[in-house]
Amino acid sequence: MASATINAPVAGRNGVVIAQRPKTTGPGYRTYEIHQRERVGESTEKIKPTQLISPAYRRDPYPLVEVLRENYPCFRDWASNCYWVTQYDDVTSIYADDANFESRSKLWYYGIEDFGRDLRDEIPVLEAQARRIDGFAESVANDLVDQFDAHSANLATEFAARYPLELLAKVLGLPADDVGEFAGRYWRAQRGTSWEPTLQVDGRRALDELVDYFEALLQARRSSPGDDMISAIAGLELADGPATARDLAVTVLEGDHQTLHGALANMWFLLLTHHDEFTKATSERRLLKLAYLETLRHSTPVLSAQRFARHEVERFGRLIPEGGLMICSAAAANRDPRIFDDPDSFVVDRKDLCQREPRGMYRADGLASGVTFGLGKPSKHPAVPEDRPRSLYAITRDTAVTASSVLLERLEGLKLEPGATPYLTSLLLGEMHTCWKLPVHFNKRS
Amino acid sequence: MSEAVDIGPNIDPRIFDSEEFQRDPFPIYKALRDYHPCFHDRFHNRWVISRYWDVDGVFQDNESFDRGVYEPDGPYEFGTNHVFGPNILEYGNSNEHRRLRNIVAGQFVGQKLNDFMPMIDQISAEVIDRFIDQGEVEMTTQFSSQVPIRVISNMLGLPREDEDTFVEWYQLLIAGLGFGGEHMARGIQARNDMWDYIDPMIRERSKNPGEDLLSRICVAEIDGNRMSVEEVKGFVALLLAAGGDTTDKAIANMWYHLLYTRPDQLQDVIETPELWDDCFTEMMRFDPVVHAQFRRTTREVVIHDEVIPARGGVVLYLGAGNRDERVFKDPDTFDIRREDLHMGRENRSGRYKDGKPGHLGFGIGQHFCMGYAMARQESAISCARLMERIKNVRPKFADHPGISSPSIDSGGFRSPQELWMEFDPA
Repeated sequence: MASATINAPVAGRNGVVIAQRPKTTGPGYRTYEIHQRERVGESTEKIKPTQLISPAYRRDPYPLVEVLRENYPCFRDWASNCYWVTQYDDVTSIYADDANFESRSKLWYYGIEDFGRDLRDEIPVLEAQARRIDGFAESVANDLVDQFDAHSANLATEFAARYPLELLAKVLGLPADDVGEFAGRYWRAQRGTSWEPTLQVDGRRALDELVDYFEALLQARRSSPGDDMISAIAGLELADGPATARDLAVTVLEGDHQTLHGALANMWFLLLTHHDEFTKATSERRLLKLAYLETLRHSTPVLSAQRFARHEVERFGRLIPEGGLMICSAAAANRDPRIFDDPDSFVVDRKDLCQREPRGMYRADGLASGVTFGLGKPSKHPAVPEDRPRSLYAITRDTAVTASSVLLERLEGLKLEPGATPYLTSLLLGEMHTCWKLPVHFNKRS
Repeated sequence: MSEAVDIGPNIDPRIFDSEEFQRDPFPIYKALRDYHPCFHDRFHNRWVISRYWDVDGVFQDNESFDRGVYEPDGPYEFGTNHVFGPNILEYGNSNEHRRLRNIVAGQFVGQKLNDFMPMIDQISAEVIDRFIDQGEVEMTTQFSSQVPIRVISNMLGLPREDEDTFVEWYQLLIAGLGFGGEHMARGIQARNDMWDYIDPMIRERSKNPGEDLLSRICVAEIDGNRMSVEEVKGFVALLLAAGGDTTDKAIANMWYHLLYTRPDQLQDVIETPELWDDCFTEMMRFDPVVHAQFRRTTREVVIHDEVIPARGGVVLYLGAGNRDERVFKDPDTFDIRREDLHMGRENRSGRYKDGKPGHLGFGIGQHFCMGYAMARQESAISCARLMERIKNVRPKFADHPGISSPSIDSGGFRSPQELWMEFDPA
């Protein structure tokens, strides 16, 4: 792989073809630091890499990534063999730099890159997805609220965790009876991309189960198509043969549908624990949208994303080796005081956060947006494209707002259960940072 | 379509950061060897190699595995921010590495080494004199850490009256190699103190070189260029630390094994001092000072059906390979009379005329430890000298917490924390 990327021009995802870089030779000396160590790494006075894998990080990463951001903007983590990038401009520069840094598919983390094709970007698939999400966003939320008790619920597990998967089942057009089993398999397959070996084996098994399950569905939709996403995939005319159940499973796996769980849970966690902001956000739908955007900035569920250097490249005063793993910390970037005033405060109508969908370099109207991974990449296309549905970023945002509106309409006097002390945490290092217990009290309207 | 996948005993990769692993890595090594000979550690973004012949194979294969992180012959300036300063450890499999290594490697073997033997004798005697009347000794601080550093500083021609200061410095330097915090601040401080101390000597000996090692390093030419003052300083720091600390720990480990692991063989060594050599070899197999070496792939490599992509990080567990039951009988037994281990001097090919496998403790190939002969001589000579002066050797305490690696927050090598021993003067 490496030799191919060195010798052949690299086409970034934006379609820009990058000319081959000349190899650096000759007597010239570079002036910045290069370290490598036999057994241990570059020492840093203010933080140890072990702190970045500690239970403290899992519970509250913000104080630790602040140390990195303010002292070691490109931290060489020898223990985990990676580089941490933490300042807002640096993180967004990597994120926008397809020529030098690549993201890798979930299949890569499984070590099965040939398993199937990712068909998420096919226009008919995008269209079916957008149509079904828009069509079911409200009714799925209402169905879930119907299942609540009259006065109390755990908003995290009974609503936020279920909503994205119930919605995904509608998008795919799955029979209602299958949703529970499907959601279990989906969740296991997603967790399997983790570093944890047992989760990975279990996830691999779940992926195979999903393929088995999709086989019959795909056949059925091929003979009698509907307007769901599986029908769209079944009907695709692809250069290298019609879509298979494996392609379908891969397409479903690569979409990070469960991150909406984190976004919803974090949003409601923040609203319910910030009374003034709650009042503000619930006063009009526009402000509810801003509350969602501010949530993703203040407490993004996906703390960081991984990028790999396509070749040896100079960045941030360092030489990044080919294949170098970059941990782009959204948590750190989103609390960067160079970009956001009083970054640790949750302010729904923040003046320095862009309100439109950011394009390209993560800015719109001269303002920065929160860096959020896994909740739909902001579109590179026009805001209202003619040839494709609006971006997944926009669709996810609108869905979250719709679901939240349903909660507000149906749950009168919604407030935190007295005495409850909800908090955010990751179940496992590297997984979503979100709320798992959010007990609330209300009077349900029918 | 689903099939059961047997992953053997689950290895949670966080174990590698645990105290349990620092204390006793051997059960994990065995699980790795038996079930995951090429373990993809996703948590640490690396692959782990643990069987003897796999470790050997990686060491021998310079084409596929590089010690360095960057393109091997790139024009880089290395290590000016290292606790040691710029030094040879920073280089990969490059020609630069070969040239630098060739300057010094010759100083530690053959006649050059033999010239230093009387000095090792003399220094051992001086160190022993300090505690011989006390009837007990804490080996790590009073003996093992004292001898090698004095030998090195003597080779470098540094003033003998400052030797105690060097001991202090190198211990701080080694601790400063770790992952940070207070250790680093102290390490950097010690480095700066040492550099200030040594700077005028380097300038003086560059002009008026003597026969000592420091002069030779100062005037040695690489491609027509001498090393810069900074590079010489880095080299000296490396020699003090790498040449001093590893041998220090090797001596302590040998005594630990004789006192606690195999007290019966302590008697053999007392009766036959030549066995110190074999004791050294078996120690380097059983639980060597350095347990891990790192490499990066230069191309896609497949080991035991696991595909390591180009530029993947690979950790070689020498300590695991040394206990490979595929190579050594009863590998978990410490035995200085072992017949399936090459007992004599090591060499960088790792192949011996007696056809027996050697230990992996010094590495193999291009980055084979260049102080191998010196470490062995220093250890064997100083221990034999000590044994001549004492009798009725016994551990002061019946129980010992054992050998342990330092926490990954501080640098350092595997050794006992303390080792108290009682004796009668001979």
